[in-house]
Amino acid sequence: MKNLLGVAFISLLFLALCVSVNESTFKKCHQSSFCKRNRNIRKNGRNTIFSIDPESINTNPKEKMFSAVLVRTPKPETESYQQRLLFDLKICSVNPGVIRISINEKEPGFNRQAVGGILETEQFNYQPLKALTQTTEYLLLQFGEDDSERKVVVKLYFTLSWKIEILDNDHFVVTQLNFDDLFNFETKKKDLLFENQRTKANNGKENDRLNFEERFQGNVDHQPHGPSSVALDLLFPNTEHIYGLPEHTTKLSLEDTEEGEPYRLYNVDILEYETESRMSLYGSIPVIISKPKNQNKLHGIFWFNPSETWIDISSHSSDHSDQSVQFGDNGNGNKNGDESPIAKRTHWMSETGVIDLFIMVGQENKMYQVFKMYSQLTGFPYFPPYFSMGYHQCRWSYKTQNEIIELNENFDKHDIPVDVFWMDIDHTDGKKYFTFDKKTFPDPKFLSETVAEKSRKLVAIVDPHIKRDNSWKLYKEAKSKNYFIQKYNSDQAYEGNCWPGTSSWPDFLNPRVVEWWGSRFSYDKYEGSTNSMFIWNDMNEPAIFNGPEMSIPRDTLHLNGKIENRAIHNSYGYFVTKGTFEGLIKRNKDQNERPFVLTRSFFAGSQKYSTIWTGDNTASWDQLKHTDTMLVSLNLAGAPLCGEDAGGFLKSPDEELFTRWFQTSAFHPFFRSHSHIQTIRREPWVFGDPYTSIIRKAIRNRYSLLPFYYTQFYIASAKGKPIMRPLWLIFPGDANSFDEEVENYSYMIGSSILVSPILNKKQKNKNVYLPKGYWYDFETFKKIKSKGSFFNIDAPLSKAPVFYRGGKIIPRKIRVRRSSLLMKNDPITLFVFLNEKQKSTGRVYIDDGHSYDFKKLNKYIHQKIVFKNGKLSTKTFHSDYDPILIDKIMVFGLEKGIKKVYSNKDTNIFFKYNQKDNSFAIKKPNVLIGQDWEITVEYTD
Amino acid sequence: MLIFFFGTLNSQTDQSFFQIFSDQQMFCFCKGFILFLTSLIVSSYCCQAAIVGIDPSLASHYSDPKTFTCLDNSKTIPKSYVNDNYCDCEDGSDEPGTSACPKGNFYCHNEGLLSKSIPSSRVNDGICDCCSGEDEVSGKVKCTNTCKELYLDQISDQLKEQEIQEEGYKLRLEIRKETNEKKQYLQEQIEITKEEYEKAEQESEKMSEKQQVCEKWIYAQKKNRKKVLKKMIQERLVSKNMEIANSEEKNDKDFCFLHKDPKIKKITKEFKNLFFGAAKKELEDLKKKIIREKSSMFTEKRNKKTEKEKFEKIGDLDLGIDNEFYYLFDNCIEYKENKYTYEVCPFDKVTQKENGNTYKLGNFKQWGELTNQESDSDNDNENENENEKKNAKANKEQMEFTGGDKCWNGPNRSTTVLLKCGLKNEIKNVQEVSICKYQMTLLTPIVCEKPKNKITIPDLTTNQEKKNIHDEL
Repeated sequence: MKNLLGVAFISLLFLALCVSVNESTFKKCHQSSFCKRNRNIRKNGRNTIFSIDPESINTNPKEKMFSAVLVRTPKPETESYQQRLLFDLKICSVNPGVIRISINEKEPGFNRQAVGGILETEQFNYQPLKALTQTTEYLLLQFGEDDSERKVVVKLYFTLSWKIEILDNDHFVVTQLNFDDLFNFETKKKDLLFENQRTKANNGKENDRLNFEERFQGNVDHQPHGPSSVALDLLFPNTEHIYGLPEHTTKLSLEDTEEGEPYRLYNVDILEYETESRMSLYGSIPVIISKPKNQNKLHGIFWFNPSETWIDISSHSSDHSDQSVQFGDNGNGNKNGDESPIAKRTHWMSETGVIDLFIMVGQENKMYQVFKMYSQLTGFPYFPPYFSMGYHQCRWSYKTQNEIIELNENFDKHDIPVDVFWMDIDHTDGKKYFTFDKKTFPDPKFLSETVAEKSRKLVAIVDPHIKRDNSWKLYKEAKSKNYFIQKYNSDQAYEGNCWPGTSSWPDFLNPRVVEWWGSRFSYDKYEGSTNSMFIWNDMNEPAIFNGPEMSIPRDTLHLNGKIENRAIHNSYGYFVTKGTFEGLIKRNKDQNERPFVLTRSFFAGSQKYSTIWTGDNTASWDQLKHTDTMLVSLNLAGAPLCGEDAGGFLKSPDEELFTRWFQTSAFHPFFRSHSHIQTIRREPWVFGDPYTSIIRKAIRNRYSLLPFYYTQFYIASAKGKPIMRPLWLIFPGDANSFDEEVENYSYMIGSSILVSPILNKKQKNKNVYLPKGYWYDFETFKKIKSKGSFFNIDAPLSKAPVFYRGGKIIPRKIRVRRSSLLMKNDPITLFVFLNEKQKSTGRVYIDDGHSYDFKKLNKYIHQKIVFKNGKLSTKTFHSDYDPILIDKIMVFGLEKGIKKVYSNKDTNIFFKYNQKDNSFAIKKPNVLIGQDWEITVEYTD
Repeated sequence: MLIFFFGTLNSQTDQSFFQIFSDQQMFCFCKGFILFLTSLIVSSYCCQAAIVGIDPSLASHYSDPKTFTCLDNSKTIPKSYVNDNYCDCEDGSDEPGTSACPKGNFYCHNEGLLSKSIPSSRVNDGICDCCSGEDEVSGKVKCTNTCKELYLDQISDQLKEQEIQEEGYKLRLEIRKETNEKKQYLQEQIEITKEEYEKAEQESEKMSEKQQVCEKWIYAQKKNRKKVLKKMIQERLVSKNMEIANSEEKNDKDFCFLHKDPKIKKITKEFKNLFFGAAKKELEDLKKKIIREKSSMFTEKRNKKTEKEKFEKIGDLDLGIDNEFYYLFDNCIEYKENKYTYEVCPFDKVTQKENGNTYKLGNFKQWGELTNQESDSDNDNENENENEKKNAKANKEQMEFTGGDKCWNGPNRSTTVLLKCGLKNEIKNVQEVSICKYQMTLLTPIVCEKPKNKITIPDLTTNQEKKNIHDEL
């Protein structure tokens, strides 16, 4: 929604000085003591050693858990008096191919274990464990059944400093842990207490260095537990590209950070964020996807730690570390013939907590496996209702209900489909969420009903800051129940400044608070809400105008003082959406309606509950240029339901930028236009023709593709597959698809549509990379045969380069109506794009579009359609829902003439050749999606 | 028959099309022939209205019983393809009654009362778009026929509107009389105010001169007195010093400390009183008097200037027939909405008040719409002459106010005031159409028009009458 421009009311001076992000508001690594300390270890080494105690090894096949003790001792050459400390090292495989490695203090000085409620622990399927070989130098552990193709081998080195190596089933090294000896587990307070005792014994004096605190920008952060960071290096041998770590504005392939700041993960509200920056934004997913060179597989790392985390990345030649794999008969598993393979080193540093690391090991030629493994850990993306795949219109703010009713009419006047109108903060009574302003929104139910006449919906904003207003029941209730986050060293609610003025924040770490929050969405409590109104959670980092780094102080307390915000910070937004999501389910008696929730802040797991948008972007070409990359990055980190403010939120776009923006945004999973209160409006018609017509076309194209999109969303929710994909995910063997231009400025929707949008002012053509195969122009259907090369594509303002991939069948609905639900029963047109083998496949998924009947009652259709050897036939995975008529089949790229078309039902089906786009149209084939059929195309000789 | 059929399809070059007909051979054609004959009889007997959704003005294009040529002439198809729920023509003309074509249109006859065209995409989508409900025949939704009510509503709205127009037009004529009478007066006023201003200007110049002289004199007086004072003090001091010198207090010979001497202090005070007491007051009073006179002279001059400019401006303005828009001069209209109070002063400015803060939403710029260029650069002198010409012809239903207070992080505020017929001057609504761009509707009799065709209340009891009304309309 809005960023801190709104603070204008509070701090005009600050804003007057601000042309872009005020970097000094946010910490740099050197201003964050633990980042600095851990980076120093890399530079200067340290004076302790952590090693595996071979005596402690416990390989218990019954428990499917390996455990050992790590012993911390002073380095022999240093004069350190640090005590000997013990740590538990645990290794298991929670699912096939997924290794979990955790390290914690044997006797923790304080509660370091972070939060429950994020991992899908109930779904874990622990894999058998077997010790293969043990020598004095190393121990080999195998996870997985002997005959499984998904066995993972973990190799522990009994070196002075512990080392672990993970090997995949092909005996390649996936990753190496602590090979650079950067593992760190700070226990400063314990160490000082120990020292105190020692020095007291020596000179009888107390050491008073135990009052830890850190200052930044005039804010004092009390650290009663003392420095307690954890850190580890992970090396990816034979790897040129690693991806992930959203949310950042850098290029897709993660860049080396040695020269500057590490990637930072610390959820904050940020004013006019910059591109090409490793500063933290609104959300964090500590996931890295690695692509080993010359292998068609992906591995993943999930660093499960919701405290502030910095990640340094550097490139090395692989021979820098010991790569040899002594395992079985295979010897060195590195089949790579390159002379100086590249490796990527990542150095993870978290402010507190434990080490809890998941390594997801992928198999050759199963590029999507890693996404499934990750989704099994943190949850599969939710399956939002059908309407949410349509176009959303938002502004800060549509100020009255009449304005929205007018908007509702204007879309019809301009013949532009739309599904959702959004109500930003001003619809509330004094920014008290769950209420409506009586003057401007006197009858929200009437509003709901009015837009529902066209099957359209509303979304209302509900932010987690609660106005401290004793006349407000909700506040009083939360206060009396002690549901707020507490101040440091106090049981009083923390107070901060946000939209309503002085506010407090519910402690969403408390499951009871989550439930209470959810209950606020019941129709009787949330007066004016209806079943066609859905929810938007903004400012849930949380954003606090007068807080350190525009967020909440780290020393505030959750769970009645049990845990500091520092330890869970990045997961706060996640728990807000959890409450909202569950509340939206429970508001209906049958608990059978699928919610739609939009969030700005997120963490690993957020995909279960919410769609994500990239926050307060700016209407500039530069930001447009980075948007697709940000979204692809989210998709690669298991959060495929995402989008951005089309047209840019801050500042005003000109007509060209606005138009180009819609041309790419219309392909994004979540498609919404939004704008800041002090910028021009963003309705599709603001600039008039020709712009309105071009934007209308873009939106209508999206609607015509809804059956395809819905199927993609279903697949994402079932398999965790990304919706927006980099080209290399589909063409991993094609080196060009990793090209910086290709990777960042073009993407695929599913594996069927290639979008290469125009992202520069006045650009009228583009060098578009098309991997080997047939490609069909999105509008003209003109075929391009590519051997894997760049094509100069004309792109006048009216057209962005978009291509259908040969070999894919796309289900479309060409009757574009006023909203998505009005198209529900319309017939489907199949667009069959043939590849060089004259083959094509596609999928269609259909259900009621709004309920859980697909899950609970198996009420859905999931069908595969294949064109092969002149036969178009179905493979039905499941069919228990109203079938949909196919009114037309368009076949493109057929290299023969057609003599006759018939099906198992009709002996003669009318068809027609269209010279213009070189297609065959099969008219009214009289077949249904949801039924099995076969249509034969008899070729001319 | 066979030959005939092929003949009519000659325009179609598509090979596969023929293929089908030859493949289907006699079986199909026997069946088809009978069907064809039947349909021929039925359709010739019945009426063209059997084709759902066509605009009556295009009916002739659909009259051929055997074939149909897309309205864009792109191809000819068998008549049975019309409204077969499959789009054959790119322009959508083969599917006037279904939703099959993306570019098609559906014609609501609405019983001849409120006929209109709607996009094909609104056919059978579950929403009743035609008041007759004829767009929804799939059974998804049951539409009630609301045409009559709608029509009557519309008529009654029109009647109301007509009443206002008539009433307002009368007012307008009266206003015109008044403004016309003022025409002469205004002309004169331009002259008079100009003269008066010039006179005031001259007088104020004279006054300035007078003031200068006075001030010089006062200054001289002051300076002179200071000199005298200084001299006297010095003289007295010298003598006093001598007294001191002669006295016993020799130790303190430092002259600088002399002024601290209580005796000397006393002397100085005496002199000050002498020269700056009554005398000083006298001078100052004189000065004040001059300033007072001057300022009143200035106010006078300013008022005269405003007055002059006002009438000059009126002279430059296009005030329409008989100067009628002079009626809106000096006639500010207020409007309250929530916490805001808006005020429109036509030909002058628009303001918005909120909690005691006043923001200017624009100064009067011109009649009629702004071109892009104008809104981009407010101070473009080159086009000024052209603008004036345009102004003369510009429509008088819209006033543009530009160059208001600047928005934070945005443009200068501006306002468009739309003039609509009403019985008195009042603001109907205010909208912020875009960031810091306002639009207001001002009701005023001065734009009421004489209704051209008088509407009467129709009697909708019989079909025949309905038809008549339709024809009249």
